[in-house]
Amino acid sequence: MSIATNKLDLFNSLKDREFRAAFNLENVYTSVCFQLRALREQRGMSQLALGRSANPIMAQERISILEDPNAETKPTLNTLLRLADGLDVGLEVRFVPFSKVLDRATHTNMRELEVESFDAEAPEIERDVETEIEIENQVAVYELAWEREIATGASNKDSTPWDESASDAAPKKAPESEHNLYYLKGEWADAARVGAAG
Amino acid sequence: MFFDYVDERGTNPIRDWLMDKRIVPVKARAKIQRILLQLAGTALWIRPLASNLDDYEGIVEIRVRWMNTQYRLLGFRGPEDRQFSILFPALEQGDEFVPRSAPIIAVDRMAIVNADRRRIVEHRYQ
Repeated sequence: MSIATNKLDLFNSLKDREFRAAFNLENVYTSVCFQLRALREQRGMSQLALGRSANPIMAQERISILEDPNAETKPTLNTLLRLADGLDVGLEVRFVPFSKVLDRATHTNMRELEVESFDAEAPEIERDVETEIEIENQVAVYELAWEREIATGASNKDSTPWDESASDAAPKKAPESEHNLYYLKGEWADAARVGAAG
Repeated sequence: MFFDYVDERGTNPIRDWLMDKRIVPVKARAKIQRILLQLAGTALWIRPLASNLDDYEGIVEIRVRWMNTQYRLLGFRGPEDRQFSILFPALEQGDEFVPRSAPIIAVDRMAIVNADRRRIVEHRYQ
């Protein structure tokens, strides 16, 4: 059966408010149990080792209970934070629309539950942030150039800062997002950068 | 992927059991379905959530506890790779199945399914 069919089945069941509330609860705890196991196995850790990495440490038996969706004891937010610390991952608790719940509940491959530790993820975060900064700088350069264009009153087609041939959907006004940077004429942006420096 | 056993008339006793609120309250059904969804994406099933029945070769029980009721879904891995067929739903009380004949019925049904693949349908998460 496809994920879409599973989703449709669940969606129909969720129309019943009692089922919806119950599923919400079970979805949270079942997800936590399985993700905890997935994260532990991803790191090649035993339950004992995971317990020792938590801050403060937890007994192996406690980890075993936390990985069991049938256990009576449910983890508190504080327990999850201790485990997040031990696994060196973030913890996000937020209200979401049911479409998200449906999506998560039907994508249950254990690999999808794995999360890199901060150290493993750090080089990628660094690269992404540097790219974002670069884009922000380019946008700033463009905006400055655009303001100069407005100020000097030059508004003929040849001086438009984007390449209208690049797409039929080329913007007809000042681009507002980095997406529109793709239409920038490189030399025009360079000129703006020189102007900004001067 | 989960499948449900169906009888010779095409009736799905697994679905009927799950949808019978007197046996499986709505909240218990929500838990059973959520756990089945998760197991469907999990290659390795381990105790205490699933275990082989020692005296009934090939039969696996999926264990779901809701409130003080122990639900047991008896089934087997198959008939094809990466498939699990739910054969008989039962309860467990004091280390015994209710009904007691649950594992025997499961063994019989496993033979039926292995002989005739039309005796299973895809499990629906309703």
